[in-house]
Amino acid sequence: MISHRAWSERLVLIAPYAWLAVLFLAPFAIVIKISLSQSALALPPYTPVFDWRAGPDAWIAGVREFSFAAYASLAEDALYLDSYLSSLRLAATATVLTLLVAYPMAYAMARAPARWRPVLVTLAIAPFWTSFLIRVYAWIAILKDEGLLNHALIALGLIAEPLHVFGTDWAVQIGIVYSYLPFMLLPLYNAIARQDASLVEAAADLGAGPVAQFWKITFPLSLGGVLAGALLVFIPAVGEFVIPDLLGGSDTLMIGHTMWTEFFDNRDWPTASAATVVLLALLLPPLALYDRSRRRATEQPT
Amino acid sequence: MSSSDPLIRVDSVRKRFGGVTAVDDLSLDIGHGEFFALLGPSGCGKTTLMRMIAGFETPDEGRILLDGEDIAATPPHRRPVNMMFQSYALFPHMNVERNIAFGLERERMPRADIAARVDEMLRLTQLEPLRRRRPDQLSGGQRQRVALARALAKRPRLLLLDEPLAALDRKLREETQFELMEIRRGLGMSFMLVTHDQNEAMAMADRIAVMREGRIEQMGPAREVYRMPATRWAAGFIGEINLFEAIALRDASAGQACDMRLRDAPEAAPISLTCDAPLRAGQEVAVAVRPENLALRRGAPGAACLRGDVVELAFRGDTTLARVRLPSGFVARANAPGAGGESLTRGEAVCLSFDVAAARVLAS
Ligand SMILES: Nc1ncnc2c1ncn2[C@@H]1O[C@H](COP(=O)(O)OP(=O)(O)OP(=O)(O)O)[C@@H](O)[C@H]1O
Ligand SMILES: [Mg+2]
Repeated sequence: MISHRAWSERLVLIAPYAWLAVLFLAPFAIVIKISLSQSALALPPYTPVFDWRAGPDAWIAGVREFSFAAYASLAEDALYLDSYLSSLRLAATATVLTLLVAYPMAYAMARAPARWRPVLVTLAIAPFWTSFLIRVYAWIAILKDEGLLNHALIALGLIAEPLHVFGTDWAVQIGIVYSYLPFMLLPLYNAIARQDASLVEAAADLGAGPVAQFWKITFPLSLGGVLAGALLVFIPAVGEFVIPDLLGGSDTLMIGHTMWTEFFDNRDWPTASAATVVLLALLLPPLALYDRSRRRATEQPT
Repeated sequence: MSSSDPLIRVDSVRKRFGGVTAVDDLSLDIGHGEFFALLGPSGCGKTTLMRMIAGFETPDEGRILLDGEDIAATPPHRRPVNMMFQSYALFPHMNVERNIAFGLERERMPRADIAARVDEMLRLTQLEPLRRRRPDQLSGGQRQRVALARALAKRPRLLLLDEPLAALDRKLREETQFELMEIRRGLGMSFMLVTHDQNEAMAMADRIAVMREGRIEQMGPAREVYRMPATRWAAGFIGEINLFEAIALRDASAGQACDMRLRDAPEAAPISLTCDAPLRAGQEVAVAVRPENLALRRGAPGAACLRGDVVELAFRGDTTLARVRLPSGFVARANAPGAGGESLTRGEAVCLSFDVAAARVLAS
């Protein structure tokens, strides 16, 4: 009986790691391996290819063939550096915009009467019930030159000529802000809603007007949520492919798109894999930052 | 504003939360420089009253006047009133110093003055070694002292203290009580104190109000409320008291002496007590006597004497508390001075008597 229970408990502990190992670590190991290979006109389009039955000698020979040529080509081609920088810039701007849109919403939700809050949270995540792809397509209909937005603005007499939003970086920003809003909204809402209401009262009591109450108490105490939300938006936005592909223009440069081109058009799998590994390396520092801040938050409940 | 206006006047204020009436048609004044204490059982509306004065709740009915002017439209941050929260409400992202300085920074006090005031408050509350700690690194009593220091630092005209010393040990509590009284003498601030500790209220307050279910049961100078409770309930709430059942023998109007007979001394001669309310012959009343005013003698039945048996003895340092069961089953409490108490034994027959001047007739 005892060993039985111990086993099921162990299984519960092991399951998440097994999940990670099978669905993340193993594929990632394959990506690293491909990034160290060389492009070839073959199927699959790289060498060396390992055969499990070939035996240790053939494996060692394969490992000897590994090279950093793919990484070197990343450094040589300015396209990659430009793509990384442009992705980081676009993602950073979009994160700031998302924060600016989400904070007032989260604040209003958290300060709404308690019985409304579950409804508001449900509404905030309601867009998830529709496919992401369909929602991004819908933005094409809104943003294009003869789309809803321009129709509305012209009908209102605000502009004479249609605005060219679709096919620009602006459209990509709008798409990212829209798509990732809930990821920002929910951590912010949590961080504001769980604050002790008497703190703001105490601040008011000590002479802080509404502005000081917000900037001295509410906002600093919500920084954990700001950081969590910013990373939840920033990290996927850097590698975003669908939104720039559908809403961006030919001059929209994002690493996700560059990787796609390398992979499917140029069929240069090693370079595409190397680009992936570098992207992950770039995202590690912000992830570590997030992890550290979360750990600090759980150590010292505020 | 006229000089005769009280600092704060609470005028027929009522506050409901759903079905609960937290404060019910309550009126009181707090004078300039007065120390006012609010006593009452849990849930009787003390915090709600303070929150209305501080501006966090709006009265459903009635008005609150400051210097004779209605402050209904004044938001909390503009009221010259500071409140120490029952839950402390310390800012978790600021250390002790910054918590205390918060209110001073809001009034744009020069930096050097802020630093000096913060130092003064830290010294007063004995928090100097902890000045850089954050609230989550403090004990309950230390947090309470930070909350007190923070509210006190602004030297408001009225300081609302919601159970400010409840988490302190006795020595620290007494020291802080003295410090508060010192501050009050020096600065002429008014205080409104909520406490569950009657001794604290007696020691510090000029006036006391006893609250019950949102209303004021009794209000008056501290000593008077203690010595002359107005109702059985107030008598029972403040301090230990014996309520002897008695029957009025004659009609009497308020302020007159009235003869009455104690249930537990049917053979003794009637006693004559002054009453505040008119009484009818045959009306049942209670005669309230504090334990320290109840003389306890051994055996020897005297004239006005309640006979009973000692059921329990508890030594309390300089005195002994004796519980004495009377014939009706009522257990009276009497303080026997230490020496006499030590020679008493349980089960012994004793005789209780009191001076009519120290007794009070309670009709309700
Ligand atoms: N925000 C609120 N919503 C609903 N009911 C409330 C609210 N605040 C207080 N009450 C109710 O009003 C009554 C008075 O509460 P209050 O906090 O004033 O009591 P108190 O005298 O301070 O008690 P304690 O000594 O326990 O602190 C209680 O019955 C309480 O449940
Ligand atoms: Mg209270």
